[in-house]
Amino acid sequence: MATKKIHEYIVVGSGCTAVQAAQTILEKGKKVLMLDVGFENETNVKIPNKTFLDIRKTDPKQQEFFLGKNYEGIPWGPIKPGYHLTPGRKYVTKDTEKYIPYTSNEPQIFESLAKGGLGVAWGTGSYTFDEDELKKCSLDPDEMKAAYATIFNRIGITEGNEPNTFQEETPIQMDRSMEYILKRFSTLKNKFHHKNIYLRRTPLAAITKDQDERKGYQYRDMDFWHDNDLSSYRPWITLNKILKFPGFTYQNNTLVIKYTELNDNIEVETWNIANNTKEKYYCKNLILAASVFGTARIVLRSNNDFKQKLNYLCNSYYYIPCINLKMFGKKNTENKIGFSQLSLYIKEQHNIYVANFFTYRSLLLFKLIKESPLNLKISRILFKVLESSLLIIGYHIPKEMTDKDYIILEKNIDTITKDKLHIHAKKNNDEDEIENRALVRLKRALKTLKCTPLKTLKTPKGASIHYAGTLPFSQSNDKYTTDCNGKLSNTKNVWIADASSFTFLPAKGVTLTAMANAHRVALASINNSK
Amino acid sequence: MRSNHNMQQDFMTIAKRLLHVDDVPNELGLHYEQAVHKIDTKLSNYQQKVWNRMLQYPILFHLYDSGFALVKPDALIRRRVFIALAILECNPYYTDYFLSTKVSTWDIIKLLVELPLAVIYGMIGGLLVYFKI
Repeated sequence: MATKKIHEYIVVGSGCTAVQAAQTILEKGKKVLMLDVGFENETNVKIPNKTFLDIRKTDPKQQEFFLGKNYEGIPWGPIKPGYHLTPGRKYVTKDTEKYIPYTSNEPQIFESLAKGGLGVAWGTGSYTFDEDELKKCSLDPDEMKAAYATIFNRIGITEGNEPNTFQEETPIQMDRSMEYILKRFSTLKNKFHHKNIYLRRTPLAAITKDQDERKGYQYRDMDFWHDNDLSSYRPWITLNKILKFPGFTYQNNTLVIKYTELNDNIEVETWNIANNTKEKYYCKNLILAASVFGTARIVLRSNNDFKQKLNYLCNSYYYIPCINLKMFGKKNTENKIGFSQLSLYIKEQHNIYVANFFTYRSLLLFKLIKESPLNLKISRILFKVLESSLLIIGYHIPKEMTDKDYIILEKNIDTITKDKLHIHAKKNNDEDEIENRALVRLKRALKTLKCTPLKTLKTPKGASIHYAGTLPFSQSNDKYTTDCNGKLSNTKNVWIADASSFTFLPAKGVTLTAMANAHRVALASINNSK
Repeated sequence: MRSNHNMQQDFMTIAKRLLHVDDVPNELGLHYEQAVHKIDTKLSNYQQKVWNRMLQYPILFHLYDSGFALVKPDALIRRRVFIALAILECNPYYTDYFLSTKVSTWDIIKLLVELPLAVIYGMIGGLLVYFKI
């Protein structure tokens, strides 16, 4: 009988948090097996390294990548999570309905089984949480400061965070529309600051100078279409790097189902999606970083628990298209960026609301035209005239833990894992009132900045793609909580490295903090096994 | 169901109605035909009748398009026009119809005339769509 191989560490997933945890463990000289489904882009369409305008004006084959070979880039129906995905990135959600299905009474969540996870389609907004926010998340500010610095060095973050204490890349150049807004804000700075409203450059996970195989940011306005330059950070950049470590093994086609803690090791049961068989792996330490709902599924399944409700956190998210009046009739900068360029921070009592400013162009005009209540002919003319002055504001609302929103794992014989996650959300009138107040403040600020809001679109719950809180940090020792180091309670060596442990979700994007926490958890797991 | 040949002709007609262009490359008509087949926008009898009328009479094209945008924005007929628009946008021949340029006073005057017209079209078209006329 063959002896079972016991790995030092198994890391589940290959998204932002998984790869950071793996890198930390490998750098400490330990061995890691990464288990991941790991779907890759199979479209085989090479997008040329040209600017958006060059492609638009000259490339006869642009339809192949703008619309997709199967025309999957022509959207229809209401805006929902993943709506913004361009054909080359559709694989991010490949087969999630088959392998990680869910039902819900309302929320529409966004999950991924891709190599690099949700990080493949990440908008790269990389905010540090302030001390109050970290404490509300139950994270130690001193520990997190050191962890942030590590992640800054690994992935590169452009200037924009406050306090500016980390080694940052120089900021990315703004386009003309954003410059007007920043200039207007500077003129009225005192008035805005008096109202606790601040405007800063959006910190992005991107580099501005060449570094190894990564190129400094190129201003091609193709950010939503490809990563040819590697200037914007994607988790698979780290994955490719750690593949060179002798102690690292990447096992794709592997969906982790559950784990069982044995006497001196952990048995991990998986489903091999290539040959449809169950497989088992063994390890001393298990790091779960399969994203918030993915990790919750694994933990609930491992406890064979189909009754337990786990609360979760998810930011509310609004889209507010605006017209920047100062730009009306003018041409915008030709070579620009697609990501958020400015972030407006609105402080209210103990919370901060964050509005991100995007200019619109590279996602193509027809997607906007679709939302117009006018006929397509006049809508084209209208949006062509408005395009250079058009802003899309993405507004995030912070989220406190409540009992109203929960998940529960339900038995279902029709699925591969024999279960299905049910996601429940309940209307919260108090929250609605707070959100309406926050919207009024934002719209007032926008008007002062000479930006006229056209419409307010509330996205369905889950569309923010910022999730947390299913296995919160706690001292209670409840089996669905984690200790302050990220170890799952009542386990010997099962660690939670994604945002599942956070007890609060600020309005700032959670990814950078989740990566920093993953590094911190990985260090704690190493210290624990000494 | 219209034949493939008709579908390519449909595309030429839509291009003319939307952008006022003739001599659209045949290749784009083929793309349109493929896209409609792949995305599967099969029309009901009523929709097919409306569709035929839209392609036959320019005024009805704009009236129905306006009506669907207002009353039933997710209607399959609107989707068919939308597919054609997307294909036109992603072709270098028609880039200038979609990329923003410096706006002239003439552009604004044109828009100021066309916008109220579009609203009136929307109201009439809305009634046509709502009462399934």
